[in-house]
Amino acid sequence: MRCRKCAHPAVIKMPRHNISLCKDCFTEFVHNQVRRAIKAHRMFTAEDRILVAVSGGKDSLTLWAILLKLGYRADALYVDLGIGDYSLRSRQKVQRFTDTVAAAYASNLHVHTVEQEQGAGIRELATLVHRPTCSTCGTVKRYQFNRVAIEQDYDAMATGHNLDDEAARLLGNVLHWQTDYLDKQTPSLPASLGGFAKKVKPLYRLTEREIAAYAVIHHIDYIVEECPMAKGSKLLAYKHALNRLEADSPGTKHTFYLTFLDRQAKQQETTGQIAQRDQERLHPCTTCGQPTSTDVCSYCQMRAKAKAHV
Amino acid sequence: MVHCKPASPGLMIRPAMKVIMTHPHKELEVPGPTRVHQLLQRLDLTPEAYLVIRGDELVTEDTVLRDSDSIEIRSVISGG
Ligand code: SF4
Ligand SMILES: [Zn+2]
Ligand SMILES: [Zn+2]
Repeated sequence: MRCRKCAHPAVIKMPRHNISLCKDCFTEFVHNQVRRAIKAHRMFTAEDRILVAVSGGKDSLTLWAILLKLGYRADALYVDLGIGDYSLRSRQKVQRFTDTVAAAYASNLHVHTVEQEQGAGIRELATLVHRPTCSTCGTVKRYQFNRVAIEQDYDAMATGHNLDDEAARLLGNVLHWQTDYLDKQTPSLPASLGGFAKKVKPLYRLTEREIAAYAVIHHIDYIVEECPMAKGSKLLAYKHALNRLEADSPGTKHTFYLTFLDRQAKQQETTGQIAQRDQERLHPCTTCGQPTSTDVCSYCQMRAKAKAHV
Repeated sequence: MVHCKPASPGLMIRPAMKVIMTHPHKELEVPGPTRVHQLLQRLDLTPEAYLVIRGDELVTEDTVLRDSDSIEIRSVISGG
């Protein structure tokens, strides 16, 4: 198979775009998709400082690599959840990427270790506060992301969410008509309170397969195994369903999510609305100052609960 | 599932290509030559959810894989 653009041997066929591309042309394609995403949603500028949430997986490490290559000022945050071997290995991958790739761009890695602060890993902490592991994990990651962004004065927080993630989430939200979540499902969320950073998803135009292919081509050594807690997740079921549809009609995921975004953009107010609604609803936590709709934010509540048990 | 034909006594055992599937980890032997898309079909895998890697090179679906190749079929779907 030959590259559609330059006739070199192709490394990937992308049915949704009906093209096959060689290494160089595919790399260019990926970079262009990211540039387009950043521009279309005014995510950040070349002057902005960006904090990337990295897990050691393909999406986040690839995002970090691409932002650096495109000349952005991107540092990263890794949250060590203390989930046995998985956390050990993923942390090693992140550290290795930092030393071998990011260091050359003078880019920094911040690490937060859950065990160090809470005296227990995320699973133990979740048991202590009687909540599912993944929701506890979500609270901790969001909180630490915000904390580092504000302490170190970052302008944007970037995550590696891809087209499959967003399409699967959209499917889930539509199936349950979670209209609140639908409004918030945009690749660029404004800061919820003054002083906080905005949240962006520069990989939303790329599929998981394209991102993994980029990682393989550019020798980005990521952790292929999954967090053991992800097993049986709803999101996975939606992804498999969408991929089955995609196999029959290429472009399904793309059309599903990008048309949703188009419609959202036509309603235009969305981002302004979200910002306004958030600002009416949210105020600083009385303990730590992070945005919350209650007096004390869920992270501080969780900490207090965990402490009471020790 | 793909199995090699059991070797009949007195016959040479046919070499086969080694296929490693990552996450979940599995090791298979599949007789070549076969094209990438045929391999995925045989294993009942949707192309959209996997990459096929020969050595450390990505290969497209029309690539012919041979017995001497070592192949990785990597799942690209994550649940987080
Ligand atoms: S699967 Fe759950 S516990 Fe694991 S990283 Fe994702 S949210 Fe956290
Ligand atoms: Zn080319
Ligand atoms: Zn708080």
